[in-house]
Amino acid sequence: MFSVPVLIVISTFVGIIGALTGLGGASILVPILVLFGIPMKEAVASTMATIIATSSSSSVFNLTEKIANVRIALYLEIFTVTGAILGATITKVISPVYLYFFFAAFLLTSFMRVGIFRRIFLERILSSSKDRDGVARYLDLCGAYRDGIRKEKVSYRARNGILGGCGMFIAGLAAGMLGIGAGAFKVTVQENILGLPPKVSSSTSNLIIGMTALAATSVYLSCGFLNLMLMAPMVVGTAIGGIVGGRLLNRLSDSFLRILFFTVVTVLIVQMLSKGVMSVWP
Amino acid sequence: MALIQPEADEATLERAMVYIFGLGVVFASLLVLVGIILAYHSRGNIDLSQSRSAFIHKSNFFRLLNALIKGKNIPTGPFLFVTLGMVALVLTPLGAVAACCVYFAMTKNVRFMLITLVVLTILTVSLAVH
Repeated sequence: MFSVPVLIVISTFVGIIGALTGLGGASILVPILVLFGIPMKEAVASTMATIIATSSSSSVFNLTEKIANVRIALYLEIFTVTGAILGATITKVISPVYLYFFFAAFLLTSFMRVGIFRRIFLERILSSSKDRDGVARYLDLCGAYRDGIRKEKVSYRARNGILGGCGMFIAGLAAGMLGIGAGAFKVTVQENILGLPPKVSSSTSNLIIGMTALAATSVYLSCGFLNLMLMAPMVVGTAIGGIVGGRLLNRLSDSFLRILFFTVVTVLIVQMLSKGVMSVWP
Repeated sequence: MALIQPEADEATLERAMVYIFGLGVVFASLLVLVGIILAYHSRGNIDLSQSRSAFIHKSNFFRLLNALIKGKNIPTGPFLFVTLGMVALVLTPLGAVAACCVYFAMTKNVRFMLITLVVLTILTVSLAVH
């Protein structure tokens, strides 16, 4: 068993990564807690509150610097929460064994933005619609922020509003079915389908992920898995990490953030595949 | 209905959300920190407790809120502060969405007022069930 100060330090580090990549941090914290002997269900329940802490603290700076887009977050939240509720409901009926493979494949789509894959997939499938669709135009899903590295104003317009909504619904399903925040899926959808800049995707994902985690709170309260003394140091750590990460986000280059994101996503893909394999062949 | 230019006109909303998120997360963290300090003071160590008193069990979030207001069947000592911190943390994003709803209603942005209302309803219902 590890002590409270150690958990605060680990959570601070996870909070920084979460704020920079748009991941809530549950997918990093849960395996660490399990490794130290905390039961799986207890670990998942306690990290839900830490997702809200990372989301809220990083949003302070992301909104101040106008990187997070409130309109896009609210529009996408409808699909995410609906997907999460449906996901949590159908998990009771369907075995989640093969879901790990499905969502690992879904995460692989993150790499569609890299080099040759970008030319093969994105530009043929999605970017053929360079103009905004009806929903994106109707809701005026656009924005601008001042990039701290490039020292210039970056304007963007979201496209594929309907397809993006469907993608976020799948991200919500992943969150509900697997008991994770699914930040990696959300960032992937926002970058690949909606065509948002990396910093906007990360910060808007952070804004959304807090709201989605909040919806799961009652579930864990009713189950009685919420360990207050386990949650306490993680809340403090991720809140500090979220503040630090939120401040750093606009001071780091897009390429650095991409490398960080792809590293975490690769670990998540391996993690999901191994869970899937272990579920099929225990 | 004319489209609102997000950049120009939503600065007020973004500022309000910054205050809500900032105050919410600081207040929640302080309450949780007081809980940790009190736990250390009462036990003399700060190892992660696995005792049943460290677990919280209520049928839903609003029942927990109701119990805290009435002061019945609630955690005591350090656990009370951690519970209050968790409640403050949960109410923070909910407050931010509520602020969005009020803002879009005041600026007569019907499209986003309806979207925000749907989000707020789903979140509130999800906290009330189970």
